[in-house]
Amino acid sequence: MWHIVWYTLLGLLLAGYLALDGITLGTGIVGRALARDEAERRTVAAATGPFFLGNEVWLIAAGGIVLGGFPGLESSVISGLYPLVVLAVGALLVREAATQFRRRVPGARWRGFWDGLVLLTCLLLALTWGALGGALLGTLPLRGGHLDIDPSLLLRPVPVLSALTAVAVFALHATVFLAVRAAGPLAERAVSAAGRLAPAAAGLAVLTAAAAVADGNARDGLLSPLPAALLLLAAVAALLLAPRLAAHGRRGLAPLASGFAALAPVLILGAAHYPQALVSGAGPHENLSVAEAAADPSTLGVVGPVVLFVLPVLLAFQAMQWWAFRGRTDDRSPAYF
Amino acid sequence: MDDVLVLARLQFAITAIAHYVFVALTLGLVTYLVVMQTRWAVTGDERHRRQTRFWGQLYLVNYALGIGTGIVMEFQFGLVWSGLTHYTGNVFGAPLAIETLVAFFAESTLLGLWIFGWDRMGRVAHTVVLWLVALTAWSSVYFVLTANGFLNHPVGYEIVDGQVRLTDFTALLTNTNALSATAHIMAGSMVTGSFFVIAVSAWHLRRRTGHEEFFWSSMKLALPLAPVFVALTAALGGVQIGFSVEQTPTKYGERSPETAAVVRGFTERFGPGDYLPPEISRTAEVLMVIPALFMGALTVLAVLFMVKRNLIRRKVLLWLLTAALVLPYLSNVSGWVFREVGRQPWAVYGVLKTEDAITPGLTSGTVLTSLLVFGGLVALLVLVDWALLLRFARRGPDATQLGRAPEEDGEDRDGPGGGAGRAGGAGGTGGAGEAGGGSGVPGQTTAPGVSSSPTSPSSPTIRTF
Repeated sequence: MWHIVWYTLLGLLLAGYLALDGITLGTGIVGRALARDEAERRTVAAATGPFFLGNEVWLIAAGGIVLGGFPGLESSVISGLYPLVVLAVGALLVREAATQFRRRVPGARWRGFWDGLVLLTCLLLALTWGALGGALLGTLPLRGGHLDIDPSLLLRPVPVLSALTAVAVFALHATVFLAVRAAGPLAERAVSAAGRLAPAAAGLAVLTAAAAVADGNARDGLLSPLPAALLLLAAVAALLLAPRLAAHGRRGLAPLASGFAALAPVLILGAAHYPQALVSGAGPHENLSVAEAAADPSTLGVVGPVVLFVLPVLLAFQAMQWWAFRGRTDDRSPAYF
Repeated sequence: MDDVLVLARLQFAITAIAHYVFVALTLGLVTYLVVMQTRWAVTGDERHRRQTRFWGQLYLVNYALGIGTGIVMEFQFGLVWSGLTHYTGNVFGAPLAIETLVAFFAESTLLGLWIFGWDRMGRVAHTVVLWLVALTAWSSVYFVLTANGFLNHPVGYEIVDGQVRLTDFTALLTNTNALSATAHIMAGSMVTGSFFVIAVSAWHLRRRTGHEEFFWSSMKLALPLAPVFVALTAALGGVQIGFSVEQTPTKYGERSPETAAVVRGFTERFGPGDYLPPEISRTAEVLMVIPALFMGALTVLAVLFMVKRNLIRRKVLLWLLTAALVLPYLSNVSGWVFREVGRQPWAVYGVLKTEDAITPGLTSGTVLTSLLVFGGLVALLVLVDWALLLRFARRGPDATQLGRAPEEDGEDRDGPGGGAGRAGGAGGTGGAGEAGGGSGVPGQTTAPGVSSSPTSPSSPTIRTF
């Protein structure tokens, strides 16, 4: 029973990561293009800055859940995707440093250099998460709980389209966020950018889904296609709706809609595979179920209550942060990062 | 030992050392920040606020790579040491899961609130946030060392079907090996933090940078505590050795009477092999202790010169106090090498050998690539980070960016010389903390946008809760 609680927890943290750090990733990708001058660049930094640490930490917590609760996933997915994980971890390391360094020394050259690295690493991370999601959706070369992914698997249509979709969705999510968080002409520009990005993001998402149906390798991974399809439709609707909500001044609802689209892949993956965690191309007997991937019940049942007990406090801290910095920002708002 | 194992261990050593170098200072410095900011919260004295901001700035620059290298550490277990998670994940992973979720998740969220909360939160609430940041950071030490303590002295488990299973969570949480190491490390972090504050203060006092009051006040706080923490670290190290001599006798070689019997036991159960750690672990033990002797002697001597600020005129002594910053780092790194290399050839002492903890099927090319990627990136970023630390430390309190009011934060500002801005901040913050209940202030007021009056003392008093 406890493995279901833990799997839900993992889903929650990964979903939270995509919806929240998606803002950071998207801002890294489109922020510099959207801002016209130094003051606007500063506004962008002030808009996302207070949440930077609180957003990325969801991934670290998800990693902790995998480490403590899913040794089966830890020893298959992370080592099986070695080059991809090294790329992602390297990008996270550089993004962390670049974000923290860029406003430490005044001057356009210094900031331009680190901004460039932020853009590069955010783009790499968005592509990586997209490709990873696309690859995990289908069947995997999984035998005896070990995964040995050939890099060419990541170059199949579904992971490639999924990677591009991720970039578009994060970019849209960021423009919607800036539309409701920034003040002045920047916000207006963000609204119109979101309006242009939404059809592209929705189109790519539909294209990815079509490729998943056409590609036998991916189709075999969809153990329950119906809930996955419904979730995808909801995500596409959210993508198209978000810019309109932002344009109508729905400051709370708009980023929730684009955030839902950003986190939907976690729900789709979970729904498409459950009760399996990973689907093997070598036949159903090689599938890795959630229960098999999970740690022993003796661990989950003892540590689980501790985690559940603390979770409301953690969410309260996050809520406190969003409440504290809910106002609109301009170039005079504090921009530490 | 084959190449893969050597490379994997080298990669782990490099990232772990890089991570800990930042963590030690984070832990020590955040504790000093708590003292400084609490003084400000209680007295409302602007000098304490300024002190908190200056040291807080250095704390944050250091923190940047603490997080970055921590991410590399976390994912490395899955990448390279999946044998460890496969066999012992049921126990080893549990405290790490608690650490990331219960401690680090809260710490990171609260840190964001602290960085951006200057002038937006009440003085007391803002100080409470820092307390929570410090407490969660300290609790991280305990949970991480609970995981590490299990590797050194496994308790509370049984082996079923070749996998370790948790039988006694309480035993895991009260492992004397972990508890004694936690205490030793906490004291050691305080030594690191103290020497950092002392070194930077001594530099400014020696160079007469015009901040005598500011840095004397910091020196007065850290210097008398330094020898106390050095002695405490040594005493707790002694306690730790008392436990580990019995728990990991081979770490001490022939110095432990039980080594021979333990090696015989290992040979019976795991076959013949070299069950004594490499010589470097012994060297590291010495390299940990020697700097501590210097640290103790130097700070005791310096404390004697504190009478009537005599120390400020002792240029050589001040120079030594700055140079001595390298000593705690030497001890920190050596201490970890002693603990971790001394455990070899075991990943989990007496349960799982390091060579069996590695991910099956890894090639040396793969590990070499990630070693070069991580090693290269970490090395470059560490250099930049330390250059920034040096820059902020040398420029003194006027160059602090943390908590600077927006009107002071001109893009072209470079370096010291912002005296006017500070005066404005001083006037504004005197009453900021207490101004009105602020309960009903809508969030929209955080967008000033209306009239920019850079000298208005009321502007920093905007509060959102």
